[in-house]
Amino acid sequence: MSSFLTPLPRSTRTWLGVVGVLSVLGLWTLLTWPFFVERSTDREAVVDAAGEPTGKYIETVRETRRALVNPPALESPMRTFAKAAEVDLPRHVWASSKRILLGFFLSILLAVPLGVAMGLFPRFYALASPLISFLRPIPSICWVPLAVIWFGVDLGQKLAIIFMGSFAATLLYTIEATRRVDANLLYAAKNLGASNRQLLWRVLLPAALPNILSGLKVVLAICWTCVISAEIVGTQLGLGSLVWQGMEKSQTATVLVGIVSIGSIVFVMDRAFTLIERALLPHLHTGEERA
Amino acid sequence: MTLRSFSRRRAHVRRLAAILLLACTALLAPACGDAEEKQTIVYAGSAWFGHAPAWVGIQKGIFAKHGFEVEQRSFGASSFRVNALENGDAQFASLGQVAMLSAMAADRRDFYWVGCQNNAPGNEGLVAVGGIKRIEDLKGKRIALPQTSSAHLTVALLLEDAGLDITKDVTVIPGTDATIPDILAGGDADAGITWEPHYARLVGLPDSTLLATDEDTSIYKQFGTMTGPDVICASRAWVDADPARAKKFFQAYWEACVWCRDHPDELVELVAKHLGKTEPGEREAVERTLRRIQWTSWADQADVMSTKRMLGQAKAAAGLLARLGMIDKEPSFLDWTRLDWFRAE
Repeated sequence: MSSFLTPLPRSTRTWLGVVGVLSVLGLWTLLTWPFFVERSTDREAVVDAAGEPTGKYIETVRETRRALVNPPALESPMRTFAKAAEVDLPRHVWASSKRILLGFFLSILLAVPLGVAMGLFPRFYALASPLISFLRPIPSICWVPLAVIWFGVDLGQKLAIIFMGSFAATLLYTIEATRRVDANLLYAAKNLGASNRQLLWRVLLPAALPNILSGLKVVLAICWTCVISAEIVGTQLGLGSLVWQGMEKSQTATVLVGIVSIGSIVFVMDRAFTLIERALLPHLHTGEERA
Repeated sequence: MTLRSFSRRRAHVRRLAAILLLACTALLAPACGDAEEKQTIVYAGSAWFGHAPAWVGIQKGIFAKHGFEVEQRSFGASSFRVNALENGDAQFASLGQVAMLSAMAADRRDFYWVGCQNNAPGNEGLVAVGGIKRIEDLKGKRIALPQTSSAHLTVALLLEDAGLDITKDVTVIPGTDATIPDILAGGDADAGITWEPHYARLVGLPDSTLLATDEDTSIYKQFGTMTGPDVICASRAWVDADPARAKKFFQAYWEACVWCRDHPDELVELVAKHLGKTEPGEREAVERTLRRIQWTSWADQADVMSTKRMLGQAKAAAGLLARLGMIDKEPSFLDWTRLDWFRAE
C-alpha cells in the first residue's frame, strides 16, 4: 500500500511526463502515417470545346497512400506543425493569453473575497448559493449574444465571457477552501486573544490558501476553455479565433494548431502556477522536494 | 465501524449501484432501439428559409409518396453539415456554397454537389451607420461580417467595384450572422452585412443607410445569382451505394421545390408555423423573405447547373475565395457534380 502513496522523485516525474507526451505524439503519428495503399476512384468532369460540362465523367482508379485515420478527421503532426508556422502563431498566442489572464485576474479579484465571505457567513452562503448553482452550469458560449449587446465586440466582451465562465468555479473553490479550515485553529487563535482581523489575515487565509490555489489552477484551465466562445466575434487574432477560422475553412490542421496550442499553454501556465504555489507555500512542499 | 454497520453500508452501495445500472439501461435502451429501426434518410438543415423544400417534403408527404422516410436534423453551421455528410450522420443537406467550395478546396471528396434548389438575391445587404452614404466612403472604416461566407464575398466584390481592397482598405470585424446588427448598434463597426432574417434588423437600425445588396455585385450582374447561393449536397457513400435510388430521391426533393414555387401563400403559413414565427410582424418578415426566393425544379437543373449560371458563378466565387486567402486553392468543383443526372434527360 505504501508504494501507492510514496511521492516520486522529481526526475522520475519529469521522465514519466515526457514519456506520456511522447506516447501521445507517437500514437498520433502512427494513426496518421500513410501505411496502406488504397485504390480510389477519381472523377473528372468532361467539358466541351466551349468549356461547358457535358455531363460525362472520366473515372480513373488511383492508388493513394492512406493512414488508419485520414484528413479531414485527423491531420498528421507534421502537417499540423507546418500549419502552425504558416499562421503567425505567436501573435495568436499573445492575443489570447492577454485576454485570459485579464479575465482570470478579474475573476479572482471579485470571486475570492466573496467566496471567503460566503465560506465564513452561512447566512450569506444560503442567500447566494442558489444563484451560484444557477450560474455554474451555463456554458460560456451562451453569454456571447448578451456580451455583444452589453459590451460590444472589443476587450470588454471577451473579458465578460471569460469572467462569466470562470466566476462560479472560483467562488465555489474559495468557499470550499474556507469551509475546510480546521475550526480548532480559529478557536485556538481566538482563545489566545486574536482579533477578528488577525483571525482573518493570520489564521483563516493562510490556512485556506493551499486549497484556494489548487482551485485557481483548475480555474485557469477553465478560463482557457472560454477562449473559443470569447473569440467567436470581433477579432481575427487569438487561438479561439484561429479554431473558428479553421472550422469555417474546413481546415482541420488549423483547428489542431489551436487545440495543441491551448493545451500547451495551459500546461506551461500550470507549471508556472505550481512554482508560484511553491514560493508562497514552501512548507507544503518540503517533503516532496526531499523525495 | 462495526461489522454490522459495514455490511449494511455495503448493501446500500450495492442497491445504489443496481439502481444506477437500471437508470443507465433505461436511458440507453431507446438509443439501441433506434439503431435497429429502418434507416431513415437524414437531412442536415438549419432554420434558414432555404431549407423549406425539405420541410415541405416531410410535412406534405411528398417524400413518403415516393417511398422515402426523411427526418431533419439541425446543424448550425454549413461546415458542420459537410462533416455530417462525410461521416454518415446525414444523407443530404442544403448548405452555403462558400462552405462547400472550402471543403472541396480542402480536398474532401466524400460528398457530391447535386444542384441548387433556389436563388434568393436581395436577402443580403451592406448597411452603414454614422452618415456613410457611399461604398467609397468605407475606406479606413470597420465592416462587421460573418467570415468565410457569402456576405464576405459580397463585401469584397462591392469594395472591389468601388476601387477598394477588403484586405487593405478596411478593417474586418468578424461576427456571426445574428450578431452583426448588435455590433453595428453598439458602435463597434461603421458598416455591416448579414442575411435574412437578421438583415431586416440591420436595415431597421436608426440612421442607417443601405449601401448595396448582393444584387449590386458583379456576380449577380453576370450570372443572375446570389454571391453564395444555397446548394444541395449528398453523401457520396449513400449515392454510390444506389445511384438510381438517390436520383429518384432528388427528383422527389425537387418536386417539393416546385410545390414551394406553386403554393406561395401556403408556403408562408408552413414556414412561419415551422419556425414558430406566427406573430403578425414575424409572419410578414417570413413572407417578405420567401417572396424573394425563386425555387427551381428538377428540369431547371440542366440550365441552373451550367456555366451561364451556377457553375460560372461558382468559378468566380472560388477564384475570389482563393484570391482573398480564404481557401488554399481553387477546387475543380465540376468533379463533385452529378450533371449526368440532368444532362441525360
